[in-house]
Amino acid sequence: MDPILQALPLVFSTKVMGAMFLAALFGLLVGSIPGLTATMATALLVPLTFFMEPIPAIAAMVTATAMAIFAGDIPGALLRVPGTPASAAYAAEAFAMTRKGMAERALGTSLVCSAIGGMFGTVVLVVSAPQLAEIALQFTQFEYFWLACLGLTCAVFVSVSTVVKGAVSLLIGLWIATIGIDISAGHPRYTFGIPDLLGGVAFIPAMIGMFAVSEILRNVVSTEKRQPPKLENLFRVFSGVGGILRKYWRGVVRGSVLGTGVGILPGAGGDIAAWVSYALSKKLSKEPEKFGTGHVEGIVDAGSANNAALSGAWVPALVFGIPGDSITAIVIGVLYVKGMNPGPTVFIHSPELIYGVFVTFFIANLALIPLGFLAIALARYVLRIPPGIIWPVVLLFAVVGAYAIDNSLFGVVIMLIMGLLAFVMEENGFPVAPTILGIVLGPMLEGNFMTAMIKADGNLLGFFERPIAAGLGILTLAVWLVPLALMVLARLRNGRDPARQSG
Amino acid sequence: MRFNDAVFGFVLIAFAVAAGLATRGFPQIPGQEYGSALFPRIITIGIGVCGLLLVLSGFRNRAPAVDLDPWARSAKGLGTLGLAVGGLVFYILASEWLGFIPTAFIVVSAIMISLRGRWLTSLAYSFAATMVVHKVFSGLLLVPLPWGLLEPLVFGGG
Repeated sequence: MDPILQALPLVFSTKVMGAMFLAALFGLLVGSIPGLTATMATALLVPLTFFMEPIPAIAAMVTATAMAIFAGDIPGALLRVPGTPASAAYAAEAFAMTRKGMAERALGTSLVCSAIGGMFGTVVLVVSAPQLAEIALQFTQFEYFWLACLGLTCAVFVSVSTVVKGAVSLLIGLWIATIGIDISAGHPRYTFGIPDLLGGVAFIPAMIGMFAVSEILRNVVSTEKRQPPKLENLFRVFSGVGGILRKYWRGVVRGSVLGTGVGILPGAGGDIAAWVSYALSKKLSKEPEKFGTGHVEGIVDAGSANNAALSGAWVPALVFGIPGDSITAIVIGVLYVKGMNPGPTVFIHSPELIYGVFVTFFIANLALIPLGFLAIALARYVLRIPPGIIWPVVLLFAVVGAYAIDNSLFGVVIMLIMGLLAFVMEENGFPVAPTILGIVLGPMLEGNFMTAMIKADGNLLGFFERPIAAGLGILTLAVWLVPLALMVLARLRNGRDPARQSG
Repeated sequence: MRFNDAVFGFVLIAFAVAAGLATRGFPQIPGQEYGSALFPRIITIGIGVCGLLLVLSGFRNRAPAVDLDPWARSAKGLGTLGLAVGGLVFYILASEWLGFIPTAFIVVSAIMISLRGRWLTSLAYSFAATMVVHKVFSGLLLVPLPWGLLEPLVFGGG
């Protein structure tokens, strides 16, 4: 039977629909509370979805993140405080519109653009993933080793911080991944005699620590005082949006395409997609001087881009098992913990699972319009919850979530350590996303290398003998060496130029 | 709390040396050239090199060793950080013996009172949150959250 038809009853069951609805409300709530991010929504959802079957579990996460990324725009527009980092690029712009009395138009535009962007990303995912999976099926350990290298390199280069700090973050993640019984020789590495570490650092508590506890710490120490906002009810959300879309349809297309592309790149997610497309929109606009004064054009681009990126990130995740952003990194890590092996073989063995995920993407992005409208209408109540109540309660959720996976307090210990690590890192400009990618991809990198070397009898040239492997290998080496060569070249040129030597 | 890059550089170099030396005990796979020490060694060398680069850039920047953010200078900011971290440590040490409900209530209400100041409503919200979380995880997801001191009350005599 056709896997698509098989997938439909899997998705349209009360269980999945119920999980998606609750996840949607959760995502909207988390997204519209400043400081609670979409990644954090995923991290906090994992302990709940861990006990579900794959389809409702993934459906819940897809829905929650799509909702959260949009809902982040709500406090961005109303308070100038982005609800998630993905809304930061245009929070000032949207707030300027609010001050002109156009809050409903700003939010309506970003809501519709979010849904369109998310749909576009989903279409790209549905069309490209099965094709890419066909190719990926022929991959051996050699190709996967290079793919993992490329993905990790990409994560370092696209991070907002400096390359060195991105590299440190990645290496810390890779090092954490080596803790535990080694896969090839069966030797315990860096376990310090602690039996709980033999199986490695428990992934889910680690990720709750990095994405929830560190955010909580940052928020509770923040000295900024937010005045409880005086807000009106916002109901006339969709009036005028049609005209805006007709006028700026190029922006919708541009943002969707760019966002999907950025999402596919490992390590870059909705936040980077929004920044890049907002900047591009300003550059290509006929009236760039209006940007920043409450002009809707940039919101069209960036609002489409961040939701498109969310779907785009699933392309490498589903096809190669290489996450496109921190949210898919969490999902992949959880799938490994559950004993599933994300990658192209899933397309062969259980295609209905893949099509089920596709269908949930469409539903989540369609449901975004009515549920997003609800969230805007209720925003004044959500935004009035004092932060002093939110943070301790979220901390409690994090503690119980970290405990629940193995019913072990050691999970809480790992959560605390990783939370403090991520807190110190982010305070000092080290990005956290490469660390989580390192933790997820580290075992894949080492496992593929070791198996490949056993196959090739220790001959490193084996990594260049198959055509695709050779291509990927040369690409990887080029990505590593070309910037280095350019740097050396630039320094040599500077050295010869006496005018620059004084600096 | 922002440290100069050089501070991180030195910490990373020290870490790399310690973790690198530890790989000497990792065994080879018989008949193979590459063993369990290979990846940790590459990673620790990478960390060491990055540490060195950070030391260089740190000295070039001439920033102070530690740059305190507003929160780190205020007693309240540091106090809340200490309370949140201390609360987690307290939970780790006490929850088995004291039980989930009392421990969680103490930790949540302490942080909430320090953030908001209002005693009565904070205690009420904390109690409600503790009970809801307990209901969801223990009741619905069957996570065996410890009862601790409450055990005789719940399961009678015992």
